Amino acid sequence: MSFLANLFTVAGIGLRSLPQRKATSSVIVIGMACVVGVVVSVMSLSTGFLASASAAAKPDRAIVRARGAIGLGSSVLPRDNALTVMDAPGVKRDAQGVPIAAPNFYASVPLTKKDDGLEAFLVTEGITPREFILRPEIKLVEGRMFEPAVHEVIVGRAAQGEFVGLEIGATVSLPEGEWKIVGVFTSTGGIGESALLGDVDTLLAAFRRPQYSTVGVQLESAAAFDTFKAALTSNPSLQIDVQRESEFVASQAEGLLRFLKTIALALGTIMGLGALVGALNTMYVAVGTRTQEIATLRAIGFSPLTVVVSVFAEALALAVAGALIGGTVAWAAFDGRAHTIGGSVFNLSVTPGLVALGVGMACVVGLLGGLFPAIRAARMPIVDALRAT
Amino acid sequence: MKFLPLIWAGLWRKSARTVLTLMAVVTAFVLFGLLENVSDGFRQIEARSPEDRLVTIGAFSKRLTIAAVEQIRRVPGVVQICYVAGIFGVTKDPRQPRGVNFVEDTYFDMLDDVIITRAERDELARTRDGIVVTRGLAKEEGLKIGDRYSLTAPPSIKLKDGTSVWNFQIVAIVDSPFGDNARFGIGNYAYYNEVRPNPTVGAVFAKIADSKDAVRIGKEIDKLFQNSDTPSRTNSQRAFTQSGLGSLGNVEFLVNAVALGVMFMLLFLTANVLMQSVRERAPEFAVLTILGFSPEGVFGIVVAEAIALCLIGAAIGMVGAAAAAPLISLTGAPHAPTLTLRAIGLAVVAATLVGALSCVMPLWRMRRMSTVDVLAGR
Repeated sequence: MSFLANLFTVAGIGLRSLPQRKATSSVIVIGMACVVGVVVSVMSLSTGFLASASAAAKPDRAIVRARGAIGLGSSVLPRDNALTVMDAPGVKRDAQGVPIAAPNFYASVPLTKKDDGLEAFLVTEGITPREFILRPEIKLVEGRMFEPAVHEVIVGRAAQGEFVGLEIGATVSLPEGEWKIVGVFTSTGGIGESALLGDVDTLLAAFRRPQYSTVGVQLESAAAFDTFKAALTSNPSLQIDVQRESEFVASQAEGLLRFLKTIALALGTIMGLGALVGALNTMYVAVGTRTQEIATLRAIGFSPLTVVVSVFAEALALAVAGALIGGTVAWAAFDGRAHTIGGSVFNLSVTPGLVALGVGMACVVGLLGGLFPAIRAARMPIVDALRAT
Repeated sequence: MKFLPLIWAGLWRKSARTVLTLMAVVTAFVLFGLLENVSDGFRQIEARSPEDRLVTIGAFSKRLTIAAVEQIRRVPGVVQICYVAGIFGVTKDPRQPRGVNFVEDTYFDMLDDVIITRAERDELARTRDGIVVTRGLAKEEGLKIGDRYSLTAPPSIKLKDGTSVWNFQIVAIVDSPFGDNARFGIGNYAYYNEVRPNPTVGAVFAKIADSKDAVRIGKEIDKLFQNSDTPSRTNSQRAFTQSGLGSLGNVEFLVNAVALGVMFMLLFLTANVLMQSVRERAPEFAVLTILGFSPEGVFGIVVAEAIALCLIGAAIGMVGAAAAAPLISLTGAPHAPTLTLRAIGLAVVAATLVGALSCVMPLWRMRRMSTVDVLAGR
């Protein structure tokens, strides 16, 4: 117990004398704040994208695409295949015994972005009325629903914010002329809302495409996926890929997430090294200015270990404080900010997990940065140190 | 110049501290060099996208018909044309799709996404199912000239024989200006036209006489197909590339923000080191004053030391970045040689600025020190 008490005393003395070393100590704080700020900001892209992409994705819903198709748009699913899929075992049925499943058609429309005036592609999705039973999170919040057989679409709230000219009453250029925007829908936010929705058969006719892109189904339960998949993959007339919605979203986001993670890792490592050098320097100075104080403590009987720990405590406290500042700045600047990657709108997200990651980095930097100075402090010859001016 | 030895000696007055600071400067400039490399890569792609070349693709994810090519060729103002159809497929790893573009020989006159000789072009034209692959693809797949290469495409990209396996013979391995990150093949459009049941065209490139007409001619081209089965979308190559890069998010902004953060961190660190150094060496500076140095002369020595330290660190850092550049190709970003003149210039400016600015606070302190007090140890 007395060791612990001593430890607190010595660490306390060190920490209380920090204000006298404001300038040097702030090197650790500001350095760490910069590192964590940058890393957290970059990672907020990937957490935001993932959160947005998986918000609407459920494990008890499945997506069926043509085999080998990349994404949704390049999938071409013959109509008879679509019917077979919707009628497969494992698909949930409503009170009337009709399967809760719906075919989709995906295309993209070039539109102008509000922020940089560049062109980006917005997803245009053809749906049937069953879609609203399959995906109850889609809600019409303004205007009215599109009518089949006429050139009408509804627009997602997030898309409206990101692209020019998507107000109700405006028109977008799709095949066969201008299509009128008659309503606004919301979903789970972000990516689910960066789309135009229209009647699937009207859109297919306009695009002169006979076939659907994909089929989405509601499973009886998440566990029914295996039954569903087995029934479809054993059918030789189907050339399809079956995935849970949640797995599909994860696989689509994989490349981007890996890319962002690599960037964050590279930046974090290099900047972390810089911060480490700064921390080493600062702690050497701290030990240097406290030479007489440390020697006095040793002389009156405090053990070298308590001195070592007090140096560590100081380095850690400074680094963690910096990390918290960096995390907070990144949170204030970026959390909830809308961002577009490849036409999908999502909000950046600074999560407690990310800040914790930053604090973790700070601990590593603090410990490594404190190590050599602490050893020097502990091995200082007491008599010489006391005489030092 | 005669003060160089003095400055050098001052730098190494406390070698451990100098080495630590130097290391921080080096890390900062390695990162700076890498970041510059990334944005250079993007700039290079943009610069390689001429404004006097139009790209026509099918609007709304539909591909153009081969008939569209002749129609575009006849548009007034178009001087040269080429077109390409692409397929993709997989070999061993189903998650690594490989792309093959089918072109006619004129493609190589207009686009330079591969560095190819006349002999290699002729060899490709002569070999019906020939394919030219980039060195990056050849390395990853272990391909040599003369090898057969087959890709399994998705069922929607069928051949006339009902399968979707595309077989090629490798006639050349070529370099790409984008280095080994570029992994694709180029085959003959005639072959594609022969084996594909309903051949289409992915993109038509049209060189125009005057880039000022890009928007007008683009609109004219799109008007041709407005009411067809496959409406088109025409943009200049520059606009096309910008929109493609824009879809990655604002890279330039991100890069600049990070670079600025790094430089700020560095500035703070060196300023602090200098502050300590000036404090410790106050008596030495006082001696210099007594020996007849003007206050400006002493200031000059401090500033020169700081700038020298930053420049040495920057030089080592930029060399390190050049060496590390191939590693960041892992991120899939295009890469350019790190040591572009622009990057070197920026590094010199940044290093000088950081060095000079970090002297401001220490010099402020020094100005208030009195020579007599310092020498008296007060």
